[in-house]
Amino acid sequence: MKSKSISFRVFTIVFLFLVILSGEVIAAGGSKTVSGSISGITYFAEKSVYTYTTSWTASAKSSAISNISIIGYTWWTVYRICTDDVYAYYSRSENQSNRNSNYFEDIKWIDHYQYSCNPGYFVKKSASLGNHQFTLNSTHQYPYVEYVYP
Amino acid sequence: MFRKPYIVLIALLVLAAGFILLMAQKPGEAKSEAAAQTALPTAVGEVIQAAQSVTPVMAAEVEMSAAQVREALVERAKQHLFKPGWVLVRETFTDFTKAEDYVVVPMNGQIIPKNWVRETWLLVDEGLQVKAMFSEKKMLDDTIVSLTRASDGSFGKAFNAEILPNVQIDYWTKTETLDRLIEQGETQRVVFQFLSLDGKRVLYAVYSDVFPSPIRMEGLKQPLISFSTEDHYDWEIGQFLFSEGWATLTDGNRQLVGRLEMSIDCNSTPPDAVLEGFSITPEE
Repeated sequence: MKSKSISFRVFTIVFLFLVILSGEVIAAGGSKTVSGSISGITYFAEKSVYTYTTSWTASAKSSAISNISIIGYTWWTVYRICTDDVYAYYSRSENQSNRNSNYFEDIKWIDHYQYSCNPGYFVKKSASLGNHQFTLNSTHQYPYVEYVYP
Repeated sequence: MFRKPYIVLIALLVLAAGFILLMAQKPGEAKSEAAAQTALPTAVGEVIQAAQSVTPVMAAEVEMSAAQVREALVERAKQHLFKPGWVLVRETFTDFTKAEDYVVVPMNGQIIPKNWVRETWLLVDEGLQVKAMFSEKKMLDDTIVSLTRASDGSFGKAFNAEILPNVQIDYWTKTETLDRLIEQGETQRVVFQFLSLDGKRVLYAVYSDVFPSPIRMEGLKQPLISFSTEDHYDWEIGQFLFSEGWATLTDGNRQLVGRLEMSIDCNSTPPDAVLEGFSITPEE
């Protein structure tokens, strides 16, 4: 049975490698996640930025292992700044949440052509930042998470 | 004892390999050293010649890599589009989502409009090098939202000369999406086709981004699952004409999100205010 197990592990690795190679969309960027606990319930607060060929996205995601009273964010800012220190994109949202839930996500989608740098300048950095909100009964937690790319 | 699992394993591997080979044979991808050549698509003799029409007529797919297409466009623009002297590049972006018109950056009061017009004056020398530039981005009500000026000193005072290498003719052929694609190793499938549009032989390039989960967006009827940019170039002279951004929604319908148009004029002279701006530095 041991040889069977090894062969299937090898197969899985090879298959996943082939699938990744054939992927049509490449997104540069990444995310940052902070975890914590509120009244014994573990939560995760995540920010991300991903750049695609014709557009880019930024997200704020709050999740918990079970339902809590309020889950979301108190404020969330997304921006892109160019090498001349001019903002190509800026957005701020406040107080978005779900009640009696274990999940909340907000995503911004931004077109490269519409929000471009001035001629001669390039993208310096793109960022997703702000305070999440996790509320259970009368206990609140507002972890701050910031992800900047690159 | 292990024969059956091995047969399943081999079958799956064959399927996966077949899938990879199929993907590799799709047009528009760079798979060889040929990507570095300036092979113009003379091989695409089967292009359908259609009468002048507003409605684009689909033609043959172009068997070229993104790198080849980019090089051909830049070469044609140098030969046929740009001339020494002042050149006016006018870009207009129209947003179709009907959301708010602009946002203000609280840190510095900067306005970022959704709809805009950018006029850029370029001073091009005999060697087709850009020696000076004045660029102004405005909202539709003529409010100026940003201004960039640069000169190497051959016209007016030297200022911001370090950005001039970034605004040479290849920048104005608007091949930035091709550039990103090439940077990524051309792993994304791109469709290049020729169309007949208003009597022009137009190169039509479609790029698609597929998102891992649907994205809700103000102004869209449904969340979007993918976004396609459709760039149109005048193939004879290498000029970027326009681009349309289309969202594919969760219900399968497509919605036009934005349109960027560009025109190039080599027969005009900048207004006095633009010319005078080169004789002073911003501090004066």
